[in-house]
Formats: sequence, structure tokens, C-alpha cells
Amino acid sequence: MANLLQLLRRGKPARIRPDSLRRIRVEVPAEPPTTDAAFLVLRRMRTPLVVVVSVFAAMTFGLSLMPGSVENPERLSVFDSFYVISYTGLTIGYGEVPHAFSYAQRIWVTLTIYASVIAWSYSLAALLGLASDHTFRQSIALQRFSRRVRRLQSPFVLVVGYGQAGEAVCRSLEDQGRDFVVLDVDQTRIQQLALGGYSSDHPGYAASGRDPRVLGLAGLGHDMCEAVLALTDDDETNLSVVMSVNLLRPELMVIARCSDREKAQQMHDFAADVVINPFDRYGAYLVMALRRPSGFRLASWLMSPRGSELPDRLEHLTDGHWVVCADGSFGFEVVRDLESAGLDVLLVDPADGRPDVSGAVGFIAGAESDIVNMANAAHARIENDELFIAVRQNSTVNEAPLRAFDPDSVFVPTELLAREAVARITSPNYWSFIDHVLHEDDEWDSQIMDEIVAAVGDETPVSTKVDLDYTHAPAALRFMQTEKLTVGDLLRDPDDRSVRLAVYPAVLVRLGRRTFTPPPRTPLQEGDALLLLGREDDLAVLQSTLFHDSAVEYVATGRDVATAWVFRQLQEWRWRRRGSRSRLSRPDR
Amino acid sequence: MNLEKVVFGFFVLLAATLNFGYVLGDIDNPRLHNVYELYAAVVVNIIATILKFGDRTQIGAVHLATSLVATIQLIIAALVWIWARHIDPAGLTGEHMASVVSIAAGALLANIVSIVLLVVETVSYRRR
Repeated sequence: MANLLQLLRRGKPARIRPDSLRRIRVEVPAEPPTTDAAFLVLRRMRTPLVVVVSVFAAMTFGLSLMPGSVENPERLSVFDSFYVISYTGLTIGYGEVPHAFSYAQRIWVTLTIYASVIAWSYSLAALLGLASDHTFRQSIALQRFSRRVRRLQSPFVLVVGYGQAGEAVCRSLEDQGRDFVVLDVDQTRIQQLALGGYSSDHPGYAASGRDPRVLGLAGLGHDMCEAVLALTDDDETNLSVVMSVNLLRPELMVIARCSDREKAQQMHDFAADVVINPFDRYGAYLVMALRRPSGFRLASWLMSPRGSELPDRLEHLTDGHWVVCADGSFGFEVVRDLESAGLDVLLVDPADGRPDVSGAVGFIAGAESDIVNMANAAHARIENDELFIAVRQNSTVNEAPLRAFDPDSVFVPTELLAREAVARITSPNYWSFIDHVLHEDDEWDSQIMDEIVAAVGDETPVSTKVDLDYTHAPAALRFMQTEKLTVGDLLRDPDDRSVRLAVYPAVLVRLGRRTFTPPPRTPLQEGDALLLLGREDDLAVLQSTLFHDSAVEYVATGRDVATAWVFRQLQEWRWRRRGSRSRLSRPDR
Repeated sequence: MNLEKVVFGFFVLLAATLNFGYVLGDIDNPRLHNVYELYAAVVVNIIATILKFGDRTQIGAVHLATSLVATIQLIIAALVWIWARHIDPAGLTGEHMASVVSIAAGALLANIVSIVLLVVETVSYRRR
């Protein structure tokens, strides 16, 4: 029989996925691969404790045998001896109790003092040695990590791999106020996470994501886990993460990085939601920038970190002869994309010396060394000043000189990866909007971009989803029962309805169907969801409108409604006398 | 041969034999129950308990439990003896002695269980 408790999961109900290769439900393993810290302490402290107990026992026994003095000829009883040894052994004594000792007894107590001090210092040293022991510290760290993960209360993302891409993703997630857990094989990278200046402490642990038990400890089996990102620079590790998620938690979203076509195919077999090959994507984006500049501009703006300025149009990007100077799979991927777009491309190896760019309109420096790329790009600029120059940047070390060189396009593989991954995680609706932008024609994109910029300004907007239901918009729903509320009404400022908030309605989801950029006249219905782009403050104002009857009434009709109950009754009475209608007399649901 | 097993077996057996030696004799006759025997039984039992710390096996856990029971019972017996000998104005009477010895006899039962476990573990031991 199935375990009934398994059906009572706290989080969102597990989506059934037809493309999971899972046949049997298996619990996510989470037992620690190393020993428990408490057990380690008990094991190591066995000998010291036995020594301490033995010393105390022997000393007590001996004291009870020592003959008494002339005044008190009786020997100390076993209990009296135990009492004397207890305080002598622990505190080096405070007098002779129950009466003055004989010399034999004094000699014995002196012996006790030295023996017990030795026993104590030995066990203290053992305990301190244990505290500096590597295994012990690691098992403490592991326990702390798994405890923190278990206690996570809000939805979180599991990020495997904290390299450049992982860090960029974590920064964006933090920017959106979301929780995440980090795994990386490298201990120093995990320390960077702790020192990274995040506003809150995010759990991180140094271990390989290849071990499903480690994934389990990092929250793969946690109800609040909502997505897994495999961003290590090792394709096989990423594949193994995708595999574990597909077989153990198929309902989770998984995004993986991959630079090898064969591995990417294997990831698709395991139904990875998204496999991002930054090299492949770059070529596609470059072609898009060439063929559909507005769409490219809008999409890259929407994917850039919050507060970024509207990107410039890529200048002198034209059809014609292109030279790609690259080694490894980057050159292969980019050439494929450019050629499929109908360009005339020549691929040269950076080992063959300075490339010949005479007669070319574009040059891509895509070697694995940043220095080689800079040198080649500089040479190309000397040869031909009108050339479109794109440079691949592999590490952040040479960022400043590269910025000074100011090529037409800089390709940072990890950045591209992070932007796409975050845009997809942000919300399915947000990504669907970007996807729509990527597939619409250029005129539409250009028009939409003008509309968005006119509404929210030229910094990257924040996105929010507004659910029109009784929990998230009670006042709006009460209003909608009797009168029409349109998208445009919601966008009005409740202080002055002639002012439009800096908010743009991007997607309207009704009964599972998406309408992109709904016109302001569109009436809203119960159960609709709106994806809004805008300034943060204005979005907050809009959210508060949904909760206040008087605000909803004002933005929709322009009527001022009193907020206090007594004044509302008065107002209603006046309106009724004038013959106008009001919804406010209707009892709340 | 495993030194750990030797030490462990030694202390478990010694704890049980000392306990047995103390209990032996008329239950209410203080002359037949030497206080040093009780003292030794308490000490050896505590050491036997410590030796079970950190053993993660199932049988190790049961060992720890039985040893804890024996140790606690013996400590209670020693407390009763201290009360009778030093605090109670009537001194160490036959009734007190009977109570001390019967509590120690309870500890003996736990110690016997410990030995049974030790024997079971030894008999079922296989070098895999």
C-alpha cells in the first residue's frame, strides 16, 4: 500500500510529467556520507573518559583505606572519600572535611591532585584535538548545512556550481529576493559565497553535485525546492544532476549548462527543461541582432539585471564577409549560426597568426585566451576601422582594458547563461513574454519597446504577477461583480486617476491562455492573472489598489468614496437621494 | 583477535561478576555485603558504559541501554547505602541493607542481559 503521508505534501502539488523516465517512486536519499559529529565525539572521548573515571575511582578507594589521625582514628568511609576526591579532583580542594586529616591521608590527597590534573588535561587536550580535526569539522559543517536546508520555509532554487555563471545567477536571484542553496566542489568558492556580501546568509556546501545523496542533503527532496540549476563547467556533472532530478523529483524545473552537443542530447533524453549552450546561443543572438535589431534590443533589455539602461543599437552590423578567429567548439557553433543566416563566414585558427580581415564587415575574436582575443581585435581595428568587432571575454580579470577598447559586442558566456536561466526561473509568464518578443517580427518589437519605455522609463523594469482572486485582490473582485474593471483602470494612480502609473501590462493569462500586451480597454474577469512590468514603487501602489474598495472605485469611476464605515453610509444615502447607484451597500462575501 | 573486543568483554564480565559477588549472601545481613564490592561494581559499570559510546550498530545500542540501566541502579543502591550509613539516625539496619542489595540485584539482571548480548554477538560473529 502506498504511504498515505507521502500524499500530504506541504508544497505545491507535484506536476505529473509524462516525460520522466521514472518507473518507481524512490525517496530522495539524504543520509550524510560521513559520520555524525556526535558519534565522532563519543568515539574519540572513550579513552579520556575511562582514564578520568579510573583515576577518580582509584583515588577514592585509596583514600578510604588511609589510616586516620590520633584524634580521629577512624578511616574515612567510602562516601566521605568520594566527597573529598570529588572536590579535590575538580577544584584542587578547599580544606579537610569532615575533620583534620592524618599524614597518610594528606599524602594521598596530594597524589590525587596531581593524578586528577593529569587526567583532566589529557581529556581536555583530546577534546581540543578533536575540535581541530578535519573530519570532525567537516561533519559539523555538513550537519549545520543540512539542518539549515531542512529549515528553509520559503521556495528556493538549488544552484549546483558556483563559478562565474553560478555567482551571476545567485546575484540576480538575491536581487529578486529569492532563496537559494549552493553546492560546489571547491571549498574556496563556498567561502566566497559566505563573504560575497549577500543580504542574508545562504546555505552552501563544498561537495560534488554528482552524488545524489549530496543533492538530497542540499534540498532536492525538500518540498520548497522549486528548481535546480546545473551550472558547473563540467558537462558530465551537469548531466548527472539532470538525471537525478528527472528520476527522483521529476516535477522540478531543471536548467542545465552544456557545451557539448552529444551531452546536450543526453540531457534532453532526461527531459531537462532547458539546456543552455552559451556558444550556440551567442551565434543565434548575433544573427538576431543583425536581422531583427529591435527584437534583439528588447529581449536583451528584458533579460538584463534590474536597473540596467536600454542597450545601444549594435552599429555597423551588416551582411557580408565575416571572419571568426576561434578555437574549440565556440568557432564551430558560431559559424554554424552565421552561415545558416546566409552570411559568408571564414573560420581561422588563432594559432595561424593574425587573421586577415581585409574586405570583411565583421570580426569575432573567440579564442579561449582573452589576451589573444584582445590582440586579434586590436589588429583588426588597425586594419579596418569600419569593422564590426566582437570579443569573447572568458574571465573578469581583463574587464577594464576590454571596456576601454570598447568593441561593438562583448560575449561573456557565463553572463548570457545566467541571464537566460534567471529570466526562465523568474516566472513562466515572464519568460513566455521574452519568448514572444524573440519570435515576433521586428516592427512589433520596436513598437512594444517604445510603449514600454514610454510607460516605465529606460531602465530594466521589475516584473510582478497579479492574481485576480479573493486572496490577492479582494476589493477589485467586489467591484467587478457589478461593474466593469479594465486593465487600463488598474494602471491609474489612486491619488490622481489622470496619472498613469509606470507599469506596463505584458501578459494577461485567462483560463490558461496567454494574451500578450492586452490593450487598456480589456475588461478583467475573476481568475485572470496579469504579468506587469514596471517601477517597483508603482507596482506596490497598484497592488495596494487591489485591496481598497475606495481606491478601486476611484480609479475605475473617478468617484471619491469615504473609507470609514459611517461616512460611507452617509455618502451612500446622499447618492441614493440623487438617484445614482452604488455597490457599497452590497454585503461583502 | 580484536583488542577492542577483549577490553570490552573484560569490562562487561567484570561488571557482572562484581555485581554478582556483592549480591551474594543473606539479603539483610550487612556483614555479608562489603561496601567496597559495591563501590567496585559501580566504577566498573561506569567504565563499561563509556566503552559503548559511539558504537553505531544495533547491538551496540542495546548494550549501551543495558549498561546504563545497570549503572543507574547501582548508583541508586550506593545512594541508599550512603543515606543509611551517614544520615539515617537508626544507622545501617537490616531493612536498609535488604533494599540496597535488592536494587543491586536488579542491576545484576541488567548485567546478565549484557552478557547474553555479548555471547549472542560473539556467536553470530562472521568475518565477512
